[in-house]
Amino acid sequence: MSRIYIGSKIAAIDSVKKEFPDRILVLSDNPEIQSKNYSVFFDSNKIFLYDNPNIEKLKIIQSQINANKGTHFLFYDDDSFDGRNSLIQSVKKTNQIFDYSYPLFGDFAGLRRSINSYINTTNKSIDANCYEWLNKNCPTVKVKSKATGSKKESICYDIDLLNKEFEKILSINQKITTSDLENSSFVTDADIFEFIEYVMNNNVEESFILTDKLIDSIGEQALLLILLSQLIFILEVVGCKENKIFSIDKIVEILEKRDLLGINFDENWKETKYTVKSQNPIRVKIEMSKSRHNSEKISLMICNVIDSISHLRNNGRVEQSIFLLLNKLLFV
Amino acid sequence: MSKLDKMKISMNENKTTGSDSLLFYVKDDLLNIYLNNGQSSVNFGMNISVEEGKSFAVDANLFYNAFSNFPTDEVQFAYLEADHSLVFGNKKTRVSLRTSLVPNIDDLMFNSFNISSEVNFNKLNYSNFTDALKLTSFSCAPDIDEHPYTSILMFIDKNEFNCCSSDKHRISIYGKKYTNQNSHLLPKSSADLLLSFVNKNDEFDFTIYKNKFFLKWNQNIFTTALESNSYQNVFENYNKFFSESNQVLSTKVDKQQLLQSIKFIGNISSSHTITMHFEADQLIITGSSADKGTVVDKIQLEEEVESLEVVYLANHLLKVIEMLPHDYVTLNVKEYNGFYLLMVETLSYNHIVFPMS
Repeated sequence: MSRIYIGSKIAAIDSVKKEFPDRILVLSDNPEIQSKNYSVFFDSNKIFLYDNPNIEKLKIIQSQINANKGTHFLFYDDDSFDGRNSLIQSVKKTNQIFDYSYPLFGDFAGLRRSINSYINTTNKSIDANCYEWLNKNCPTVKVKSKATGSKKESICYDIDLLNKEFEKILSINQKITTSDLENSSFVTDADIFEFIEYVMNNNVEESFILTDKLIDSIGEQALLLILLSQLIFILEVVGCKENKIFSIDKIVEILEKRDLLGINFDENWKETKYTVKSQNPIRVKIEMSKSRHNSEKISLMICNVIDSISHLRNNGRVEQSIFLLLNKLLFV
Repeated sequence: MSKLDKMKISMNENKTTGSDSLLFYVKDDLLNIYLNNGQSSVNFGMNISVEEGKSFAVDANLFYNAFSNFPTDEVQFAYLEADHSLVFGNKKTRVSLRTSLVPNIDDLMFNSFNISSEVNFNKLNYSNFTDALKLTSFSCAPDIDEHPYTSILMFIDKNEFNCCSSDKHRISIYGKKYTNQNSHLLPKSSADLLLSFVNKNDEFDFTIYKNKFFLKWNQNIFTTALESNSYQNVFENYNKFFSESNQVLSTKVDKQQLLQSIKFIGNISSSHTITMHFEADQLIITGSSADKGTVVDKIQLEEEVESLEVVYLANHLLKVIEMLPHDYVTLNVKEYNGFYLLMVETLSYNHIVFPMS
């Protein structure tokens, strides 16, 4: 009998360990190796928990279950697993799905429930003011859908991190108060678009803080390329504003290069084939509402970013190149 | 050349570390060679006197390939410091390899071979050490498999090595059984390296200091990292197959006859498994595959045994029988939870082959 756990991996592991205290939990992301090495003499007491297995891996897990080789549980970050798979269908039929999903950002009732359920297990208490404080300051985590082709991403409250913080506070106190929580500095995911806004608004401190976080999470090349792409987008919108083009449809047309694509024949005097890279009008509308530098300054910013990319690709040092670039973008 | 061969093994063990430089340096007017692969380090004192002490490093793989394939036996070396190159060869053939500068040799030596002066080295019992490693390293799991099955558990009692290992399909125990003694885990790759260094002719001293195994002989020193054993339960569990199993049959078989039979069956049937059928005073070994057919071979036993049929992995059986030095092998079949385990036992060595379920 298999199971599916969704949401917080830490909560899922805790739950399995509590329910099966005599068994050994093995976390795995490679069922192929697991199935090859399975031994009835060594592994029958183990529970294998697979991290976001795809269809190919599910097939191997299914064959292991059919051959009665061990206990196999599945873990998914969210509920975007393929419900057509026979193993998942059988788990659904037997109602063996255990949901430990993080509460969605803004779901205060869910956040409150999660906090209470943790506090109840400790026999300690939390001050009522803490809920309000956490509504505003609770750490968040981005949960990316692992389903093929899906770009779905949800912002959720990071209950695992919060519980760890509670655990630390409760190890010395009997009650959690807002002053305890105010001492915590939660590390949350850095948002590159937030960073770009800070750069455009010359917010020096936040720009430098976010740069470090973003280099750690996505790397300097991705950071610069996304910044470059966003600057080019801003340049085109600013250019439209300067040329007194305010119609969103017209701007979208310009951004999609509809005025340029397909106007010339190819070398055989036939119409060229092209695909339009569609632009989101809402994104354009938001950009139009913002106050930006003039196109000349944005062009200079683009040149600086390109110089930095080129410098880094010629064995330049990250700490020097990014530091210089930010100084140029923010101060010059 | 033999030292280079050993170094080659040392290099290949961990290609990803990037520590692939062969260091030549001079100490007390004598040439030394040093190599490190991230897990193990070796320093060879070459007994070659050098007048002017310059240190340099060359790409170990390049040097090995160039030197081992050199067409003649007579080779002369010259290090050209100004050109950053090591030239070697003779009038007919010449090789020039780029060299690089060596960081502080003393730091390297300290990091690799630092050992407290209070630590005593013990004399290595060659046959005990090689038997312990040889008879257990083959039954470790490959590096990519589950830890700690990729390592040998090793403990030393009265200067004797005791080892055990398993890949979950077989168990090897050399010497005493593990019952929570002070122990270390030795990765299979390091065990194979160690075996390549020791030989009968030289006198070796060893010690374990700060989770490192040190081996000293002549002017040479080798060290390899050990892992702390935090898997006591896993290794202690091996004993239950001996203590909780019931003897079903025991018989003596001619080693060569058994080997030939298994190899012959394996070659014809191309099957990974063989079926061993004990019946009266005969051992009937069969192998079959759906597309190639079936092979049967009989071995006459010295006495009648209980009838039973069980399937084992042919390779695992072959390997252990080949390893044993005796002319006759005692096969014991023991029953454990309804499974027939094949045990090959000698005075200081116990091996279990698990059946295919």
